[in-house]
Amino acid sequence: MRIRFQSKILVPFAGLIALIQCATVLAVISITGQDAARRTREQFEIGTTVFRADMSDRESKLLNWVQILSRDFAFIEAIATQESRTISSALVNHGARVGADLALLVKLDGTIVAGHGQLQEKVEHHPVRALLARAKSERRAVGIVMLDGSLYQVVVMPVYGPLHLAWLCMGFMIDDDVARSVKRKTLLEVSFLTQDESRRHLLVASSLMASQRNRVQEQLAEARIVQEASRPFVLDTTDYLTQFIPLGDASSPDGPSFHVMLQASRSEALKSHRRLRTILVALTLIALAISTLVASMLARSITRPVQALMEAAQRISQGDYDKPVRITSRDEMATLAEAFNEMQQGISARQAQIVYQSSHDRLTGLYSRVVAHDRLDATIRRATEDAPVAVLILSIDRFKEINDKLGHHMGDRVLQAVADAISDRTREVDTAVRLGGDEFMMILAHHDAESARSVAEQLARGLSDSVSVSDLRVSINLSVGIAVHPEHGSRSDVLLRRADIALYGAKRATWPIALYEHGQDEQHLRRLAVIEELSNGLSKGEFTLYYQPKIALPSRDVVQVEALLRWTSSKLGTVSPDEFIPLAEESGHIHAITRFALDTALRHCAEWRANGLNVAVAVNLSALDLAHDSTLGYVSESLSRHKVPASCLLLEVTETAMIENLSQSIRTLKTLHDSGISIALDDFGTGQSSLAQLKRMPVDELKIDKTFVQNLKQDSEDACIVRAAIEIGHSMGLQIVAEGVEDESCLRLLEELECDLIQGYFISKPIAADCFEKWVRDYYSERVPPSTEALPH
Amino acid sequence: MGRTYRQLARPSMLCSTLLGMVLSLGLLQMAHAGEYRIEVRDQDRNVVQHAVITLYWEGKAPISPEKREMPAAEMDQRNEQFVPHVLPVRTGTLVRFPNSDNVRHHVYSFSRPKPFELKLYSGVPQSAIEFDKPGEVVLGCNIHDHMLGYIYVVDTPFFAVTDSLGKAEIRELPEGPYRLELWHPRQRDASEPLRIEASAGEPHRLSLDIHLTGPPPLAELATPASKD
Repeated sequence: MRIRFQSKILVPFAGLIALIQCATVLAVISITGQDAARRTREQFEIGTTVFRADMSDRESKLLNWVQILSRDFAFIEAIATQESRTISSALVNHGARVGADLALLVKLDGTIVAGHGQLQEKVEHHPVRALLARAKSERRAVGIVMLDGSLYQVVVMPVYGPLHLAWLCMGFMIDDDVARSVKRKTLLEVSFLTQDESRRHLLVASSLMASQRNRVQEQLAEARIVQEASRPFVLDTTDYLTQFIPLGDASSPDGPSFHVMLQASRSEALKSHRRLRTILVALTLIALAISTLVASMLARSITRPVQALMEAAQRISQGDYDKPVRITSRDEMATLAEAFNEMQQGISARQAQIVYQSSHDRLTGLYSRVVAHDRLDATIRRATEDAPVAVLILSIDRFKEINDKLGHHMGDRVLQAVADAISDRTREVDTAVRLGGDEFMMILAHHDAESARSVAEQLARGLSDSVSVSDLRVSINLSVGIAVHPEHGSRSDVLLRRADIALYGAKRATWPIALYEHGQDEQHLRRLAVIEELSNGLSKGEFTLYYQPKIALPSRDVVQVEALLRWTSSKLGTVSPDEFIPLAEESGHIHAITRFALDTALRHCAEWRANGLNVAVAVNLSALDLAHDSTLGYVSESLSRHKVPASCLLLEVTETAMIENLSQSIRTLKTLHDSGISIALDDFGTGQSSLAQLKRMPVDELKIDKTFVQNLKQDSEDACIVRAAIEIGHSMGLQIVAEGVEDESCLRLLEELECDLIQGYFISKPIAADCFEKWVRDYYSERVPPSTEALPH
Repeated sequence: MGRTYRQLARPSMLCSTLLGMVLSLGLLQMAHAGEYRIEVRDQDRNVVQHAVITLYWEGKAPISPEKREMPAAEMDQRNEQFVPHVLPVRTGTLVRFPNSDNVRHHVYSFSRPKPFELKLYSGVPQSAIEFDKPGEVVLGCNIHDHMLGYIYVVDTPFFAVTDSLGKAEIRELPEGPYRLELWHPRQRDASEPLRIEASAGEPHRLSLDIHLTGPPPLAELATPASKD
């Protein structure tokens, strides 16, 4: 977002400036470039004109000099002597006066009288002949002559005395100095060219530097030069604007033709233009850089607050409310930033409140359950290696009673009193938590089991000494479970669980403060595992029913079977009913289990009845089943579903189960009993039931607990109890069943004591349903004489 | 004579050299002293001034030299001109060069018969100059390039120069044969000598033709119009 926003500002701004700059620079470069080229051409034209004027001027000067020389009387006199030596020396002398490099005297008949340079008898073969010929018609001549590889500007002038005596030829060498002096006037490079036999141009004298000269010479060798003087001949577009001007008598067809080559250096002219261009480009780049900088600063001044707000929003979304947005400007952004800060503060305050509320209990002001783990973890982390941390879980005994008896208001006051007491014993490094309901937790740093126990004892003692609550003195009893780090575990969840387990133990024990003991947790976990697997086992059909027959005495007929649950869990293996039934009762699975047992037993019973085996089935009922209203409906529904008469069903109920909710249980049992179902009181003799209670119960059978039966011997205590129980039962019109009959002697004794029914390994261990019919047949076939009538009661 | 003329005339006509023609044929009188009246015209039939006619005795007996005295001659300079323009003199004649101008002159000649120099002077120079060798002597003035004069030195007493009408007379000619030579500063080529007879009696009339060129180039004509 930042990049895009910034570039939205930056690109058009910098781009526009770049565009304008580039256009300006291009225009200026183009115009100055054209101007430079035009000035080069102008300079070239001016130079050319100056050159022509200069050459003409030079010719005039030379003519004048030579003419004046030719009129010198002494010179004429010397010539008149006709002495060759005299004339020669006069020529040298007078030539030197005018600075001539070449001097010749040619008689009217063409004889060369004297001179220096390459002398010939006759002028016919001399290079000056063409000039001489012109002089004869024009009385004088000036022109270019090539002699001995050098170029001369030669003036031919008649000598009179007073009549025409001879021709005086004076030559002025055109060398590099001449070219350079011309260059100074014309500002052009000046080169004098001659042509060789193949009409190729050769550089004879030039103002060019040696290196340039060689290059130009090479280019000349390749080029065919157009003879037209008016048209500039461009030799090399990159270096020079070049023009060739013929020198001297261009009309002579055979004579060597001479040209002067004028060159205006483009690079010289363009040098300032190039400098200007360089400066302009540099300025443009600087301007671009500055404009980009300014644009980016501008863009940033806009995007920076936006960026700051965006970052603030991100911070807030991540839960960081501490940093306010700082925007120094005074524009709308600042207002927005203020709004942001207010919003941030608002969120921060609300969150702090929420955090506090979620981490603290409203009633007591202690930490709430949700932070218990974290606090414990933190404490453990802070604790040094061997410094123990004690975890105490405290529970108010019978708090429900307080609530029920004194009202919830008082209950709350009690909770507050406990919380205050806990808080009093909590130091800075400790933590007090209300776990919920009547449960509290203390995390005590640097406390081992003993010191934790002493803290708990003091606490419990203080509270049990009665606490004043709203002008009421209440005695509060605490149960405390303690687990210690690192002894009982290093992880918070383990410690909490173990403290909980210890509490569980404390609640059951007589002493209200319990330390976690090793192994408890495993039991606990086993219990949890069993509970967890119960519903799985039910749905997967892991439960089966085994049947243990009860036989009547003295007929020894099989009259009843007790349905016993067997659970072979796929995960836990075989789990005994003694283990899983209480857990099923705790976890509420007991109803489903009872229904399974009831349903299955009645189904088997129906099958057996259909096969002519007439036995009653006994199914165990839990106390919870009795308390549950739907039990009645389900029992009758099952009976009718399997078309089993109520007389064939016997429900076994333990004494303790009945007592827990006596009136409700009695009501339920009565209803069942009234519908024709027999009721047996299981485990008779182990519970706390009184005979008064027994009288109220609608019971048909008493099952004497196997602890009295297993070691039953003549004249033993057990025998007395059994005898008394049988007598009481019979007196109340109840059938007596003895469980756990394991030998013949026991059987005979019970027969003697007139026990009605017996059950036990001596008769049979519990048998699988599909084997039961065979067992019955075997049982009767073994007995002589077999009784074909199994008499149900 | 006529034959001679014809003989002479034919090649001269052919060669475009001097064309001598007898225009009027008087009787050749055997007189004690003969006289020739000569008229010279150029190729355009214009009369020619400054033509020098020279007669050389061709007779067997020499003519006594004392027959003619040799008076001094003068070559005057007036208005920056040599006057006369052409002065024929006999060898050995002394010529004076009086200066009639109010400027000085520096008269010189580089001609082979008599190179001389009269450095800047005015009035009449002290000494006359003797022209002792026959030939053409071109005169110039060193400070006036346009001045041009001729002294034509002949080795005979019989000569004359034509006047502005192109006429010249030679008198007191002993009877006998002569060689006639015609000279003019602007003649194109040296003329062929002409043989004539002098006789007493009526003067002989002779008309001569000469081929002239333009005026000779002089230094001042070549002076360029200076640009400075």
